[in-house]
Amino acid sequence: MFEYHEPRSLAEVTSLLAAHGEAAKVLAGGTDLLVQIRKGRHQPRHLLNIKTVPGLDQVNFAEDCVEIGAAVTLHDGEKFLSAYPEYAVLCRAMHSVASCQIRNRATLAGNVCNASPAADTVPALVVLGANVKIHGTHGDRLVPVDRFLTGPGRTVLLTGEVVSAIVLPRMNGGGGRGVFLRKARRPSLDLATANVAVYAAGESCRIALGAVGPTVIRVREAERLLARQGLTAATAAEAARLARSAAKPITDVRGSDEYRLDLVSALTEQALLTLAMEVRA
Amino acid sequence: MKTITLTVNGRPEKLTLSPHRTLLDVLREDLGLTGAKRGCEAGECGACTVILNGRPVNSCLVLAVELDGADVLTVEGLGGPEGLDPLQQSFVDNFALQCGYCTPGMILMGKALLAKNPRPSEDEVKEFISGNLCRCTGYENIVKAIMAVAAGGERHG
Repeated sequence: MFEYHEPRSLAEVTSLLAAHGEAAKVLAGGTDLLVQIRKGRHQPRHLLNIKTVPGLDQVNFAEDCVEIGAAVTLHDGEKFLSAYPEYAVLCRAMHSVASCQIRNRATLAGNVCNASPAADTVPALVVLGANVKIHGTHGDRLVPVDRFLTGPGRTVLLTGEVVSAIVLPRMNGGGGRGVFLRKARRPSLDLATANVAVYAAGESCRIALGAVGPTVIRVREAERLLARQGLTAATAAEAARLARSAAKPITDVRGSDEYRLDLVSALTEQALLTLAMEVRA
Repeated sequence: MKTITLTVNGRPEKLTLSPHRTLLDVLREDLGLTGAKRGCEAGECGACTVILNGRPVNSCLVLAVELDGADVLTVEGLGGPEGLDPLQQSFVDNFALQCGYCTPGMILMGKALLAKNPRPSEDEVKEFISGNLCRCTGYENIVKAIMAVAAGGERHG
């Protein structure tokens, strides 16, 4: 049994978190937390509903960044960003999470904070160069999404800190385009067996893999190859081979490690070839 | 305990609740509205689907204390003295149910989809109801029932 709080400011959230430590949990969409509580995996004594903090449900477009508040749902995030083709990779990833009903409650920040190795939005955020905005008693800090995640269910968040937003860089005039692909046992509700995001802007290209390691994996060797030699059918195939060797999958109910390696290779090549067509178009 | 007021199927309700109770608990146990069904309690089956502030959600994953001022529609809020809602009638006409356990959720998903997209394609219907499991029908007649109302709207519109 927990005590329920409706904080009215981030300062109130951080002081409650600092006061109660491990006994407090932040409630955003609740689509994962309430299931974990029901299964007994979390037994918080204090639940902090951050949806009551004014402004956290907003998407703010600034000159150099887009701040997606920690209470913005996956549905609303997708709706806000759908007008911007440079963020299509993230829209696709957000739309891939769970089901319509879940996306109407679950938040983008929550998908990141859960730190599931299979989180669909994470590879997309990483190729976009997104940061996690963290509010603590000493102010704000920004941490790149891939550095924010340290292991399954683990992040760099310290006691007393709360994620206030996911921050995307503005891709002003860059004409960048991205592609997100995933494979799961069924299209909806199941976690990804593997997922891949790729993003190209000018000469640079980023590749990130999900569900094939404890956290998201950047395939930097392949990114360097593509920067040097450009994106062609031949370099896409070589990048897929490099992605395969960067992946460190496990065997579980969703697939064997060997199958996941094959998936990573196939998804990476397919994503890059699709990207090549989008960039040309 | 916390006291909230919300609107359920157009009726104002005032409830004093323990914070751990879900919207599904409150609908079924306090308000006697048993249309929303308890299925997986993990957001995977869609049997507990209701429309919250115009959007479908899994009522098993929403704490009731969060809903002060909210507007909730359950399957009991459809139709009226004059008869069934056209989508409910279409489920009957198209044999879109057998045991009925998934039906309230399926019908509310159909309502939500048609409200924002009156002429969905079959693929759009299938994607929209992909968070709702049915063990009886194989989904075919459910998709047909929703498509029939969409097509009917076109005829009359």
